[in-house]
Amino acid sequence: MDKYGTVEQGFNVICTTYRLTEHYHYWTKNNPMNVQLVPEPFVEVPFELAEQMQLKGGEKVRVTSARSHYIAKAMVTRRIRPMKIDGQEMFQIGIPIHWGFRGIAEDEGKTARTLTNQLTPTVIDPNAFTPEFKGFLVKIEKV
Amino acid sequence: MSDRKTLQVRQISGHSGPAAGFEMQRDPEVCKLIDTTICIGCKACEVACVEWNDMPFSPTTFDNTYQTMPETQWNFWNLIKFNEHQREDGTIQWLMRKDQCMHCADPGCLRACPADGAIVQYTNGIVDFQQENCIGCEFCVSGCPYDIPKLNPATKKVYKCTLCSDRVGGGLEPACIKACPTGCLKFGTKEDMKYIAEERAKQLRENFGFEHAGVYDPQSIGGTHVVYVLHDAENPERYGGLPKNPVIPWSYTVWKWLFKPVLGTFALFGLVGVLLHYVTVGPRRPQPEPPLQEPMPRKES
Repeated sequence: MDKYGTVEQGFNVICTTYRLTEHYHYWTKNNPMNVQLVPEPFVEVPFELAEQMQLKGGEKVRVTSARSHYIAKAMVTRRIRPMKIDGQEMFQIGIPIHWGFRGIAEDEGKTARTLTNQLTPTVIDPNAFTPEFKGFLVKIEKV
Repeated sequence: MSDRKTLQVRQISGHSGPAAGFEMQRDPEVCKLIDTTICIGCKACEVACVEWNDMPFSPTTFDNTYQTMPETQWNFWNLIKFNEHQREDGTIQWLMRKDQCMHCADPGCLRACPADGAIVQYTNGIVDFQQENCIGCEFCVSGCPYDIPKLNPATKKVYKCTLCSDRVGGGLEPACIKACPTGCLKFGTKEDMKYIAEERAKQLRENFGFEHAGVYDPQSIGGTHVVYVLHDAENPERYGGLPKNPVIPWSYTVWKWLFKPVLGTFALFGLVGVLLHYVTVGPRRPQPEPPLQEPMPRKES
């Protein structure tokens, strides 16, 4: 069994991971054109959460799950909206995957150094073996 | 698109007299249509532009959006601008607009340019920079209402989108249009593109609830050869600072249409004055040396 964070332990933010339209998994981090399109790794943070944390876009944040942590610049956006879950206001953040140990941007020092998938729990669908990386709990803090 | 294999010149910057061979052949005006309502922000057009024009890898900076960089650069002519617009009811509209040269019918850059032949406008509407004639004065940068021409400090030349004149002249569509996966970018004659754009805007108004949907083709600069379909044509500023009524700075108009002819006239007056002087007074001839009034004082030893 993998480790999971709970809200009681302080993991009170929902996190999801995704790719960007201009990337293809992790492959394109060795293609100068695709690397050029997105300058740096980032974490999308909803505007309301950023206000609570007094966080400005471009400042670095540390996202910690029960497994590991990830550091990247914050992108403050209004596109991700707070959710009401069980009467409680919950925030969701999003991390695009693409950056890893080696690659064009990584070799230039523009990297998170750790993989997004170090945060995600190892949960798979028992029949299809499709990994379930799209929803897990984290905590987020300014670095 | 066209069966011709050459481009005809319509206007040349800093050039006296009309362009040679103008209106000798029929040449339809070309146009790029950008339907911002179906752009997905994949940036394929950016890559196509960089690849076709063989531009070097440029380091980019993060500015709190999905944008590749804050604005276009001398070696990055095509940039999708991402903007979040909050409607009155609190919902969010994520606006994406491909930013590049608009190829104005009355180009501010060409009007401002003092170098002969550095900027040309072809009959089909493309405004193109000829870097071998560019003197690097950057007047075009201040003359452009869209802030598009950019100086390369290393070569002291200004660069911008050419609407792939090298492809269009050979009967191909521009590289960005070829790369677009959603059909958001279209290319053809101005008439056809305006028709498609107006139809799409009508569809958006009637069937999709975008009451103010419309076509961006500003008449203050005589129309552009890149037209947009916008969700809200009344507020184009939301799409990363697209001016509603773009204007060429008045100083350039004064320079081109007033100072240049007036100063030319004054120069002509000067020449006429010289001629009159020659006729009335005559040319200056070598004068005989005047005789000395008194002998040179002797040196006393």
